[in-house]
Amino acid sequence: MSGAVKVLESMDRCTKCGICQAHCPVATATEAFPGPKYTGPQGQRFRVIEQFTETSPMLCSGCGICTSVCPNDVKISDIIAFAKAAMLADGAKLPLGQKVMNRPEGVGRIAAVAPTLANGLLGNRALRGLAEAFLGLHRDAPLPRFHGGRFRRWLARHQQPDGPVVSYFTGCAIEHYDPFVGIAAVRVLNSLGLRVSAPTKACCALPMLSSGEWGAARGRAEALVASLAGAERPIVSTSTSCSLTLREKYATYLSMTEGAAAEVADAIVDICEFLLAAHSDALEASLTALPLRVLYHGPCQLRGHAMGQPALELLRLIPELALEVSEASCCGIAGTYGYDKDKHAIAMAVGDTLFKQINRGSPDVVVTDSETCRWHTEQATQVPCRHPVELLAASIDGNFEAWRSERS
Amino acid sequence: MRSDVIIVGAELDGLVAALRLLEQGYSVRIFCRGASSLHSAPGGIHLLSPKGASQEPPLAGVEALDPRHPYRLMGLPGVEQALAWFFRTCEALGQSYCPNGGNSLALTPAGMTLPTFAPFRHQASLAAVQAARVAVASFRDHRDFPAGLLLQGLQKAGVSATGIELEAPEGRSESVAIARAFDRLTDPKAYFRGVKDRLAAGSELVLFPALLGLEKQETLIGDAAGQGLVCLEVPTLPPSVAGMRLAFALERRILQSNGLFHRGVTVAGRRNGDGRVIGVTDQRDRFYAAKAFILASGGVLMGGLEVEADGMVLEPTFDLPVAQTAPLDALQVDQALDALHRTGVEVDESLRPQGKGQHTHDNLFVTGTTLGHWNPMGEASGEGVSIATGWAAAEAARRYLEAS
Repeated sequence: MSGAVKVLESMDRCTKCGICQAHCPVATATEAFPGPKYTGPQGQRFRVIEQFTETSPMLCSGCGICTSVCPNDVKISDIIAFAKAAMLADGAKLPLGQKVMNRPEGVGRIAAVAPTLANGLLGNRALRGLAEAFLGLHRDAPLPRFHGGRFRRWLARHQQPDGPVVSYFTGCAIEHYDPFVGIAAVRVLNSLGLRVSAPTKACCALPMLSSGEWGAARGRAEALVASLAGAERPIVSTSTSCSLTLREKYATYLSMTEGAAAEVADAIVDICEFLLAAHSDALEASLTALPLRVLYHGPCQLRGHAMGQPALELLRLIPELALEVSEASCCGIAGTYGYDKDKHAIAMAVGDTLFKQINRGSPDVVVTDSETCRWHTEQATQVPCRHPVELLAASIDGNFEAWRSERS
Repeated sequence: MRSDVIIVGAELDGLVAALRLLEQGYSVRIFCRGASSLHSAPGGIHLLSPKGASQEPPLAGVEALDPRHPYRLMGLPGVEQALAWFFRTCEALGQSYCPNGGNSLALTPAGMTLPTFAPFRHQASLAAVQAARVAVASFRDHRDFPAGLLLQGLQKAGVSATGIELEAPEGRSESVAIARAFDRLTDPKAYFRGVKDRLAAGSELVLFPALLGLEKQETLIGDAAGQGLVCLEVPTLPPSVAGMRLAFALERRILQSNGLFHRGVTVAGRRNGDGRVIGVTDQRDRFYAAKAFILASGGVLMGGLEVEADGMVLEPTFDLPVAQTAPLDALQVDQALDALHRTGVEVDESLRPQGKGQHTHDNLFVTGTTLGHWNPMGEASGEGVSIATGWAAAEAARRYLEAS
């Protein structure tokens, strides 16, 4: 059965109970979005029968909370994603800024030529105003700093143990913006005697998939699968959204269900999921005290994996870590959704629950598995946001002061 | 990935079992498919009601039930202990209930009444409105509260009632959005003063749809009282904020107590050995081990039990025997509905599943609508049996863990 059929057939199980409406963070934040029940299964019937067009799918952030709370396994957010892609195929236009963000590897390559200049430009308020006017990129949206090439340069010099090899799918965030997470991941894996290879710099094309540019996404998806086809197993990822894309979205959205695509989907694993399932005893033995107050937020994409919260279980192994758990289902940014000038206010309103909880508890650090969640939350709260493996690495080293200053 | 106890299902029974075990220091992992049916619940606690309102304690009717009914298997002292624990726990979580010994007649949005043992605090009952001049409030563009039906019902019962349409805070129109907007209200006193000013002279009591906050209902209703506005709430159609308040409060407490949720997961397989369950697997074959297991996955309506094409009922999670004398016959609607509820897993007094006269596993306990021989709708006993069996399963699991 093709991905589309599986998704669209699931709408017959909708009983209109309204639970998805009750949990949708976007519909709760704004009346402009009618909510997943209407935009999803209810609206879909009209799209099929009457070529019904209305633009509410474009307001969906794709966070997938609706699907995760549905008691009847209706693939609500996927139904909306199909509607979005059909609208673009029919000639609907994306803001130029979204198109730029959908090509993070291209942006990263250009910026890598002169990262200092690029970072200077990004920090310039006047230029951000222009970017808002011409690209539709909100002036306050959390743009990361460019660190192009830094992870690769570090890895090339880094001495690794001679143990079994684990492949690391880095993705754009590690390659261009957040090398520190990659370095921490390698150090944690090394501490377990594992040798890390990073076979590709390619992007998984998730921003394209979630904004509906499926035609352009296909070529990138196929190229990435080809470059990972021969990689050692397992293939770990430090981005819950990239790993979900490889694991499920290529099959669902692009019908890539055979051959190398299926093998890669089977081999890809979230790094915390992998550490917890295969190495939790060895890891626990090497963790030392980290007397920090930490708030853990499981990002919306993690819910899509339907595997609980492996990072939370790992963080609980760290001695002396005072852990609070986020009560929010989404920070609002939902990948690249909150970067759009028309959606940034929605992203801030969605994030309000999380930001308030952070401000109330004033933790030393917020930990979350997805990159844009970290950038968005850090910008909104001024509290440092880190990936779970950064805390594990600090706990293994027993030196959180060094970990604090590493980025500066 | 080991835990002391794995619970399959996060309905009221599963949440009660989880919280009871966590507060005794056990580690708990919960698997659930989606959000719980508390999202559709009216919010009050229904214990048992063969008929109408009564000052009699509803549990006095237990003796007349099927001897295999969960209340009778557990015995009344257990049920009473479970309820006392539940009300105490909820009080501490800011969810107050008002049990008063007998059943009161809670108002439904359709203008009917539902015999309720413990209404939530500020839940409207027939007795509370009978002697008052009542205004029924509704919010503009909100579709899930048929105020007209409620008004008709009240008038039929001889209550003097008029309707008043209000603007919800922030102009919101969906139930949960309205409730959250009430939680965010910066000047509740001004809002309720505005409502008071619009009331017909002589109105003594306002019935609101139960949307006065998901978290701050107590404070908000207090603020209204401060403005001379006596408010009670009537639950809405689903999604029901009154039921969600309880779900959210229990889930939050479970998270704070280190409980782990796996949401959106259907348990796909199990591993047995030596008369026990050893572990379960999820949709990607991840294996989770535990020392004891609680099956709280719900009945046919919640997807915890499945009906085959031939009308026979299966328990898919642990493949437990289901007590069923005849296939369900959809053409006999009334009987089929009762049979649908009463068909389920048979258990002993420790809630261990029974087959061929003995229990099937030493460390598996079954709760709620997965159990046979009761009918939550027909008896109006849904919350009562869920709380009682959830609590009892936690006790049984604790005894098992202590002994092993």
